[in-house]
Amino acid sequence: MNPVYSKAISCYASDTAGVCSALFELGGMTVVHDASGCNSTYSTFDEPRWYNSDSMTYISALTEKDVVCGNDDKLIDDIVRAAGELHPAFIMLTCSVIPFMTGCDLDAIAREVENSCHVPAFAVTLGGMTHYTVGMNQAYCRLAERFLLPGAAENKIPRSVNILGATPLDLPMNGTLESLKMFLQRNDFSIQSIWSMGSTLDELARSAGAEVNLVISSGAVELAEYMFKEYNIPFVCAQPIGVAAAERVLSALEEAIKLKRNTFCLEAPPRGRDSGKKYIIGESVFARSLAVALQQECNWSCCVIDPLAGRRELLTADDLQKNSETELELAIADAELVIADNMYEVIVPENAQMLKIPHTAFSGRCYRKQQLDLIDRTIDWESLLCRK
Amino acid sequence: MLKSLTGKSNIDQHAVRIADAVYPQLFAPELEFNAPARGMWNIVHTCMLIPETHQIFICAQGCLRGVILTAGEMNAMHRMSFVAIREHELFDGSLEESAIEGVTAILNKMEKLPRAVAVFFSCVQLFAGCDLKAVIKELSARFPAVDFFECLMHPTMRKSALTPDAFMRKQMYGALKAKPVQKRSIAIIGNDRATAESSELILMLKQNGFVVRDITYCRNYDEYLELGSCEYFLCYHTVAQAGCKVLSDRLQRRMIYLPLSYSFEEIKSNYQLLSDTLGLDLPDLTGLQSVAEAELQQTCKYLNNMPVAIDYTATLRNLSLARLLLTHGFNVKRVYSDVVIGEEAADFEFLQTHYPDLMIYPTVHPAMRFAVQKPGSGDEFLCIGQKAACFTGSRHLVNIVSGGGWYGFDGIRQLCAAMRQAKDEFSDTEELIQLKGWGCASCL
Repeated sequence: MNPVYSKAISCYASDTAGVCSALFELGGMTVVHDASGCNSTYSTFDEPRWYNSDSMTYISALTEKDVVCGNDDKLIDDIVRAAGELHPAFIMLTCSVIPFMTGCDLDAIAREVENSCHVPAFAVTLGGMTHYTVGMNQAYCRLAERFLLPGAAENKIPRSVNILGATPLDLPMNGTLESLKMFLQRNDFSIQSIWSMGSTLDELARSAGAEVNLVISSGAVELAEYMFKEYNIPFVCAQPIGVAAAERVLSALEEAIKLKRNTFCLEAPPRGRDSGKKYIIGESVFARSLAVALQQECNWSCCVIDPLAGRRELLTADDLQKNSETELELAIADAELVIADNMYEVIVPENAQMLKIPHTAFSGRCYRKQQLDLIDRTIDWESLLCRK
Repeated sequence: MLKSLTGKSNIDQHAVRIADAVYPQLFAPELEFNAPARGMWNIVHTCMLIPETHQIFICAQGCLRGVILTAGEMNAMHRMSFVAIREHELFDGSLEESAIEGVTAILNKMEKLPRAVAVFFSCVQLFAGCDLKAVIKELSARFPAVDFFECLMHPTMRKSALTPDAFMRKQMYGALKAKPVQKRSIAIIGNDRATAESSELILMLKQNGFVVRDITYCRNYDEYLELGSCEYFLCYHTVAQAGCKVLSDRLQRRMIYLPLSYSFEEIKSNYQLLSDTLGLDLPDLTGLQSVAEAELQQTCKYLNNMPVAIDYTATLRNLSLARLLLTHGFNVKRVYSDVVIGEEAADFEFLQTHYPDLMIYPTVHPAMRFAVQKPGSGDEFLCIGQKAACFTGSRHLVNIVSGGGWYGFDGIRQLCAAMRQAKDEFSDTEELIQLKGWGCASCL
């Protein structure tokens, strides 16, 4: 028996939150099949976009009787009634642990809903037991399968790019997305769509017209692979952090367009000798890009630790994947520097330095006011260091 | 893409005149929306009232995140741990073992063991038939110096028995043991916040030589355990009643229930009952009522017919409050509530008869997503409660939850003062109502 436990650190946003966040702005209706009140976790800690939006994220308000009796008709009727009034562009169903355990057939329910109200409906069966990136990937893929317009691929727009994986879970709401857009535009790229902040569903539907995809979160890798397979759009998994990673992202995008070659993992050759153990704990696309920036700009050679059990291709051979507080604690026991969300501080060894980068998917709202815009800019990394 | 909130749904079509409303379920259960008004306490906040206690939640990741970050935002991560349930545990019979070994590992990592551990199980263990008693028994054997008590976070069962809120107010006294009775002592049970010292309730007890205990006063675990020495257990929140009854029966003490109310007659009846039961001198209730009446008149005049909106998070006796205000000339236009609780049945009937046009709005109906208003867009309203502010867009807010610790005639007096202040001031409601656990520390 090897239980997954945590004495003192947080846990990441769950798969269902990933679905809700990915679809929040698209005019659809996301229904989580779960008990009343459980939606407050997502709506409080994971979602800052409540004002000025017409999103529809609901919970089915599952009861014990529903679980025991399999009261699917009520769920279907409730969704159809709400859709009849609120006219969503699509309906996405997902569920948490109880419907998952009882084997609730969400795909069948989605078909019944669609047949009844003639609104595109689909489902991702999750269980609230995996990370948000799993939910994002599945939600994006269902959306792409249903809405991408193949015709758009016939008219590729030169140097056009889709940004994939933009949600507040990974992207601070402090101008970071604007910086990302400016970075691309400044380098003569045009933005075809952003999955999924600031673009309409219609704009996403025309994504196949892009020449390249920039994947900024591991929560969108499966979407990038789908678009590569279906529409031959190559992708680069990276964020243009600092100056050095921005340069690397630029060259990777150019190469991707020219050679139709995908980049899963941003790497940079070591510039010199760097003694001391340095670790970055975080979502792998972000953490790997940060590692490149720090290697090139500070000559810090950092080992990335992915705590989200993501795709191994997103990491280098030297990087690590750790799933629990204990594993993480052991992995960084010799650290001289740990770069991670503030809530990891309690497991950072005494006397190690820390560079705190708040990550909403981990610490929610706790450190939102301290979040930094790291995109495409000169950063005095040394000044951000602090002693534990 | 973010768009402005317009035209999606006519919210008013979902409101009902109270004359047309049906008791007790005012609106049919449907999909539910969760409004961004976070002041209500949850089980984490409530359990944190027990000093020197550590909370360990054993749930799926999606359930864990909410409770962990609740603790994080109130700067109490050092009192919170978790064991994450994995898929195979649902099917291979290892739920008990995982819970025992997970909690054991957490406690073994601690430099100093806590006095007590609240072990929270969730819906999934109940459905899977996990033997919770066996888990607690084994943990108690492994850590004899620690009081373990079984808690549940099981919202799926919220309609099967007690609501999660009521259940937590039962659980939080689970570690109390019967101690020798301290004569003329009384514990107030089930409150999130201390009752105002100025209330007649507290004054009556103290002036008659009673020691008043309350979990909100407890500075350490020993003081918490001293609650078990009280001669009487008193509660006044309807959600605390079941817990108080269970505790009183278990420790074989006398229970007194004096329901929170905004009716003068009910308040006087409560104090008479308290006086009769404990043999206390009654204060001049007529004089206290006159003071409250004068406050109401002054406030009504001050508000100058300003529309008032009340919601259930401010007080579960929202209809009692609406009745008090309406019968004293206030312009109460809206009540935001999804159900009528049993204690409000008479108020509901009264309002149906005498104020049939009072509008009742739902709070969780799907269309309420489009009722969230930008702060400042509805400043014509004076709101009692955060959800009322959220849905009207008013910044004139009396920011209380669960009665605000105000009770009796004094409570009405304090509420009136707060209403006058709210009329004069704009609150930063967008920031304010985002804060979880009204009155708790917050890192935001």
